[in-house]
Amino acid sequence: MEEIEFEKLLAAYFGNTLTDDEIIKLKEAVEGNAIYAQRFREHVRMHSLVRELAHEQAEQRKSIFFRKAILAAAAVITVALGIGFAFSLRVQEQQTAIAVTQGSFAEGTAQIFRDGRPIDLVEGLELLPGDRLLNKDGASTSFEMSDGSRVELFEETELVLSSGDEQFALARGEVSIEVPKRAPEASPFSVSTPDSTVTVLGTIFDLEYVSGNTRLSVIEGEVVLKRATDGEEILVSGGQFVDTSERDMRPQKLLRSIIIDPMLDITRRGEDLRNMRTLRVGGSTTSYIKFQISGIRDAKRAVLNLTGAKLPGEGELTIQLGSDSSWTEDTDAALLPGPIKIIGREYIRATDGASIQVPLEPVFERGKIYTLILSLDSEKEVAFDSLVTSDPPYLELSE
Amino acid sequence: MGENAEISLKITQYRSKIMATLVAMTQDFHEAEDLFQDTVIQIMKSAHTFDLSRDFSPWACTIARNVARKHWRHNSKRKEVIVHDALEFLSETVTEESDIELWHEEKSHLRECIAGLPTRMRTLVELYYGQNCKGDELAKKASIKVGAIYTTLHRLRARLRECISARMKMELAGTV
Repeated sequence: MEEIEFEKLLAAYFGNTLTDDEIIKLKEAVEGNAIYAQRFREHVRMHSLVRELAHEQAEQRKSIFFRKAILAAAAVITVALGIGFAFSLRVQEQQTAIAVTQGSFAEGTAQIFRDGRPIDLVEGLELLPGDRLLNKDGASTSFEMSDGSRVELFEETELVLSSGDEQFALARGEVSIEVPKRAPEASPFSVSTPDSTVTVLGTIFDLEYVSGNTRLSVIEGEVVLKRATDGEEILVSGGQFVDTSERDMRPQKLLRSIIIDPMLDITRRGEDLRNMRTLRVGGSTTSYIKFQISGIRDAKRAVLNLTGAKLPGEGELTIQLGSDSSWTEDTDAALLPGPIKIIGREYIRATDGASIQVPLEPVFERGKIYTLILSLDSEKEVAFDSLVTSDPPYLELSE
Repeated sequence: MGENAEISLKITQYRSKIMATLVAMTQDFHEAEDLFQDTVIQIMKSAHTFDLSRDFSPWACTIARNVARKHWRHNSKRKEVIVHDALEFLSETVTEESDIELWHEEKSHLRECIAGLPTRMRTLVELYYGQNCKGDELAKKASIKVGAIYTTLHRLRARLRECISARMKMELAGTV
């Protein structure tokens, strides 16, 4: 039996989709070929062991849940009996959730560290004071605080939830915050970064701490920023931003247009994936580009710029949105995302060194990662500069 | 330690292998897990006939296969005896390797290999192996075409297999 047929039978065997005849064929292949027999054994072993491990992990999660439930019940009984009153109060305080996670965490790694131990974020997870939240590899996270404020964390962002007057401390990265209007007697919403503190009574703003600079961008309302290094305070209004690294902090008008470089790009020719100096389209070749949207809230206009044409040619270029963006350069071709929607189509004529602009439907939301799938209806391939060159493709978003 | 206690301990030690025997027979985790309970009962009933100095695995896996065949008489969608024989042969192939230490060693590396998978693959492991998610639902949640599910899982197993081999080699070389 050819290897490819054996592999197909093996794959279908575990799916329990083989016909009777195919089962007999598989048996004959395993019986008559020691290499196939070995491979069969290895796959059954993997199949069973992965199941066992996945179940054990699920049981451990349940066990942690029940242990917590039992601890909580024990704390209540202890209070009721009046035994160890002070201790039970402390336990209860530690267990009080101050926020609940929201949304999907399918991309990247989103974790909290509680008492030094990592816990994968899932929707509806209760967050406690002292929890450290960390987003990596393209993950974006959001949570709602008990006062109704919504916080969205973008990639490579780390913050620690606080108790008391301050809501949380942003250690690095970028967050977007919506604080509902508060009663005058309510305490203000307050967040710190390593060099500043911002205080608000009800507004929408973004806070970013990167390379020793805090950037506060206010979308609506007013926010007071106090720089820790010299105690200088500044009021920033809607439509303005301020950088704490500027010696004389002055509110400036918010940016209305932004250039976004790709996170990753790849050329696919059939089942073959290549990271090359060129992105190619045409014939059976397609290209995938991944972008993370940041720095702009409501893009009304989007343009994909393909730069430095190397192989001249022409044809209708179609840009489709990919079904997900968890792929990497090591991803199997079969696991690359499929197209879900055409967001741009343009007849292009690429000449040597030229750049091509393709207007796109502005479907992009801040903080999210998108995969664009490029194809050209031409027998001949056209090539552009890829991410590894000094002039990579880019996405231009404007409000 | 009493005879029953020793047999119970061996069932725990060889659980993975007995389960794999049943999975190879049924290709269905739910069915295999139900049959595992029946197998344990049958093993305990027959404990007095087992010579503790012998290899436990062939004896226990034979009982597992008998339990599965008995179950098939009434429940299997496959009616042909020749198909039952073929599945039994395949299942025997799995248990030919009697070194349970290899299973335990692979399991310990597997944990690391799964943790090192790309997020999408880990999600697939969690959905299919941990939550019994199948068919359209699995395809939707894991962003895979329905027709590609089993091929993808097949590649996933091959990838884990390669990762385990690499880790075992590194362990031998003293670098893990």
